[in-house]
Formats: sequence, C-alpha cells, structure tokens
Amino acid sequence: MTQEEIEFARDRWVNERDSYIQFGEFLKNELSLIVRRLGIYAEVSSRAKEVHSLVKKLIIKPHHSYETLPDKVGVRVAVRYRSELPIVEAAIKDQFDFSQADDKARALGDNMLGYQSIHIDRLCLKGGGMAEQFPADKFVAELQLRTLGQHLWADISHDTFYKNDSSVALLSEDLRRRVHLMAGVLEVADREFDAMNREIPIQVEGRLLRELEKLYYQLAVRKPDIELSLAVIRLLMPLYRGQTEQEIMSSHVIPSFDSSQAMLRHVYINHAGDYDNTSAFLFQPEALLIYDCLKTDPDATVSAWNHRFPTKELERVATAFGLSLY
Amino acid sequence: MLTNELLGTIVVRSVIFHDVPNHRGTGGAEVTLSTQITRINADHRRMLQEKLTKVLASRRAYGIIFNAQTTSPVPAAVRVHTASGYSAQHLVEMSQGLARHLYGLQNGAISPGLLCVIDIVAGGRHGLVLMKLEREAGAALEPVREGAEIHFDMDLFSNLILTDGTRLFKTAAFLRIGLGDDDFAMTACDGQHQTTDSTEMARFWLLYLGCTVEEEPRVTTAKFYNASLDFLNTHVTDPLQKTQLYESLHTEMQSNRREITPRDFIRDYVSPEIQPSYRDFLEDRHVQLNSTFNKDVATIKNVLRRLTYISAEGVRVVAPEGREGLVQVNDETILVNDRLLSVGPR
Repeated sequence: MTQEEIEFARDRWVNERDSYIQFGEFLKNELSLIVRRLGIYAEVSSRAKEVHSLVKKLIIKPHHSYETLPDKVGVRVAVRYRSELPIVEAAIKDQFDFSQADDKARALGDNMLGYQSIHIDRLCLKGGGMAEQFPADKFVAELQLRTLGQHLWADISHDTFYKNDSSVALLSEDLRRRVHLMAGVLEVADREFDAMNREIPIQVEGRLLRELEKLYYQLAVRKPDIELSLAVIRLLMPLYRGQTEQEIMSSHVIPSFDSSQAMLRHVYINHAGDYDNTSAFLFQPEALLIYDCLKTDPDATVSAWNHRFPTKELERVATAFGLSLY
Repeated sequence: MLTNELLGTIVVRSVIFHDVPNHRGTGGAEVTLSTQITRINADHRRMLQEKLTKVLASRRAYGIIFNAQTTSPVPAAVRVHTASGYSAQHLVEMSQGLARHLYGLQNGAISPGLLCVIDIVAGGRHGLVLMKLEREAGAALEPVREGAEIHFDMDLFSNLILTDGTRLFKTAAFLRIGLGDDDFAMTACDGQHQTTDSTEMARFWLLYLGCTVEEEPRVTTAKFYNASLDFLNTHVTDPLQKTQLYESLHTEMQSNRREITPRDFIRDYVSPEIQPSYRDFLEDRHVQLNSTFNKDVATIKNVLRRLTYISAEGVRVVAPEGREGLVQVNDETILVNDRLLSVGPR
C-alpha cells in the first residue's frame, strides 16, 4: 500500500471504528447466547483494532487493503475442554456465514508443537434484522475458537515470542527447544483436563452439579462457587428420596426449568450486575435445584436448609423466583 | 391467580399512597390524598417487588374474580387503567377515587390505613396492585407538601413494611391477560382473616375490592376430597395404606381445624412411598398443593357422614351412611356385606 492509501485507511478507520465496535459487541452477545444454549461455560470477548494496530497491520501485510483486512474486528470464544470445541464450532457455523475454518492444531501435524486455535477469517451475519445494520459485504470479523489452555499458550507466547514463527526462528536452538517443550507441556495439560473431565469418577453430587451447570449456563455466565454448590446439593438431595441424578434431572429439575424458562431468564437478566442485593445462592447452578425443591415441598426445603444455611438467603432465592416461604 | 412464573417477573413502575383514616360520621379525620406519585429509587422498587411476592405467593393468598353484582368502583377502575398505556396522571386520579371509596367503607372496627396503589408490569402485561397498610389510629403520617402538590415519602412506608417483615398485608393484584373485562389473573391476600369468616371485618377487603373468591371453599374442599378418594382407589394397592389414607382424610375433614394445606396433609398423614404420586395426582386434578384453603364440607357432608354400629359384646362397625345393604342388622347378628382389606390395632 502506498503512504496515501495507508493515510486514507487510517482516516476511514477513525470514522468507522465505532460501528465496528458495535458489531463486535453484537457478535459477542450472539456467541455468548450460542454457548449458553449449549450449556457450555465459555469466555467470550470482542475487540475492534486500535487505529495504530490497523495501520501497523497494513504496513506489515501490504497485500491487504482496508477492505480486505480480515480482523478489523476480532471475536474470541474460549471453552474449558477440547471436546467442546467441535460442538461450539458447529453451532457457530449453523448461525453465521463463514469462510473455511483453519484449524491451527491440524496444521501442526503429528510432530510439531505450538499455537493451536480454530480460526475463521470471515464471520458475518447470514441475514435477519441486524444484517441491515451490519451488512455482510462490509462487516466481517475474525473468530478464534480455542480452549482456555490453548488461550494461555497463545496469550503468553504472543507477549514472549510475538506469536510470529519467524521471530521464533531467530532464537537460539536451545531457546527454540524450550519454546516447543512449553507448548508440549500446555498441550498435554489441555488434553489431560479434557480426559480427566470425562474419566474421573465423581460422586453423585458432582454428577448432579454437572447436569445443573448445563441449565445454569443457559441463564447466566457468572462462575459459581463449586464448594458451595456441592454443599447445597448434598443437603437437598435427600429430599428426592434416593432418586439418581438422572431421575432428579429428568423428572424434576428439567420439567421445572422448561415450564418456567421465561421467568428464569427474566430473573437472571434482572439480577445480573446487582450482585450486592442478590442472594449468594442465586448465581449458582444449584439455584435451579433449590427452585424445584421450593416448588415441590417448601416446608421440607426450609427444614433441610435451616440445618446449614441462613433462612434469609433461601427467602431471597424464593422471592427472586416468585415464591414465598410464608 | 398469579403464578410464581408471573410473580418472578414483577416490575414496579410507580406507586402512590393515600392516608385513609377511619370514617366516623361527621367531624372525624379526613382522607389525605396525594396529588403526585411517590418518588422511588431502585432499592424501593426492589423492596416493594419482594414484599409483593412474599404476600401474593404466600399460602394465605387466594384467587379472586370480579363480583358482577358489586357497587365497588375497583373493578371498573382496574379495567380502565390496565386497558390503556401507563399514565401517571391517570394513576393519581384513579387511585384518589379508590382511596375515597375506602374511606367511605372504613368505619366501625376497621383499622385506619394507608392505601398503596402500585402500577406493575409482570410477564410483559400491565397490572395494578392495591395494598392496605394498617396503622395505629393515633399515628399521624405527614405528607410532603410542595406548593399545592402533596405526596408521601417512600421511606415512611419502607419503614412500615420493613419493621414487620413477615406480616402479610391486605393486598390484591390484578394483571391484565387479555382484552376482555374479565381477562385478568387476580390474587388477593388478607393476612388476618379467612375467606369463610362471615364477620364484617373479614368480608371487608373483598367487599372493598368488589370481588369474590375465585373458587368457593366448599368447592375447593370437595375437589381435594374427591381427588384424594380417586387417588386411593386407583393408585394405592396396599390395603393398609389405603385404609390409613382413607381414615386420615375423613379425620381431617371432620376435625375442628378450619384450614387445610394439601402439602401439609400429605407430609403429615401419607406414607413417604406414595407421597410423590399423590402430589402429582392432586396437581393433575388442579388442587393447589401449597395454598391453604378454608375447609367447608357443605358439598360433601353427606359422604362424610358415617354410622357406627356397636354390638352387645363391644364390636364396633363404622360404615358410610347411605350405603344400604353394606351392613345388615338382624335380631341376633350383624352382617357386613364386604370383603376384609386389613386388620390392625385401632
């Protein structure tokens, strides 16, 4: 690009960046909804390039023009486990128009280590109401889909080695080996977390928590306190008189959730950001178990609850869900 | 009735208070009418929403319908207010009318009170809540006067409500669910009185509202009784459980207790193994498990009546009345024409 063209691109980006920020925010919300519907925990973020970043990129990659530069807006989805990647990828592809996905892990083959992530260079809206505001011929974003482990590698290696293969190539042989060893260690950890998540025998309350999480993440993104979750589940499970976690979910919690979905969504949207006035037990997956127990047998729930937790907190949860203890 | 799914979505839009003293003929205290809605912040809003849920979802709450014969202006006011978009001015004028109506009725032993009229949205629908906060006769509440305008400060009422956190105030909620005059989900609560009480004080709240209970207690009682009988005849196979449930049901119906909460009855008298299926069965038959209803056996009194035959040697046979042929009394014998289900200590 000529200097004039770069200057023109800079001015244009200064003028248009705000609308791209809005586009990024819109994508972030949509992607958050997708992972929530899947009941998967994910960290979703978006950013529009800073003006100086855009200029640098155009200088470094002169074959791109302002129009063709793919990552003026970037969105990132980081999930916990590798096995969740294809599920999320399929759901995203179902909802958006996209270019071919580039799986960086596959490109590494069987004997190389390093940056791993699924990249979709051109993600844009298929249609619908917002497509008028963000037409696909102009508003495109680059999507990065990865695990939190892969994100750790990408984040630190970006700061340390500038993510650039050629900069790594400039390092001494010993340093290069250490870079690759570190990538290997993180990949092993990532794979182990995924395997352990599936293989570790967990207690029944842990299994129930996992099932509750699938519903909870459809309503909220706030991470729960696991210790508290398990304590509440242990306390309330006896109210189901020996039923398995599958029976509790399929016969009780899921029907309760399904029949009250509109209200539950309202409650969690309404209380998000107002944590100071919200029960400590609301933004926890087991809140849905508490809801079912309160609807089924409020007296038994109060009685069990009072053995361990403050009644006032239960009252707050009940009131939030439109129930009364009186 | 307003379900918990609706109550969980209640949003308080605005609120207005009027001080309504006891009406004692001429020369008594006059009603103090606000001319402005009360200013509320997010905390007030949340406090009101929580209080409304506690009251309207409580066991004391019951479904109501508009009384077609009423002379109360409340039904018409509710219909008009919820049929149109929100208007603060309309809320002020309409609520003043409701306060005057309360003043006209509030005499004798009826406590003075503050009429709180709340404009709400629940489930995306427009509604109105009336709440009467009773106060001591001598306790004067000073309104805020700004020129010719008058309103009551919300903190005054926050204190009243919060100092008595568990008290269930006289409340009624009307949520429009359709365009028709009777297309409302309606719930009322009168913490101090039962709907079957015949005293003036007990009937006062419904009289003021121009409403009647959605389902008469005799209907609710019969529904619970008949559903329970059907359950034990179709779902309970163990003879002992069947007899126990039957006996408990009849004992409950004939006891001096004036209220029944199905959930409590199940917990106290039904074997744990059949509790879940019993609960499901009652819910399928539209019996409200968590609501307390006033027992009225008028509809089922003939079914409840049972005759006791006592023999010379002290044998007691108890049989339902009106089942001729079940017990045949002869000169020297008593013949029971039935099969034995169980034997046990009494």
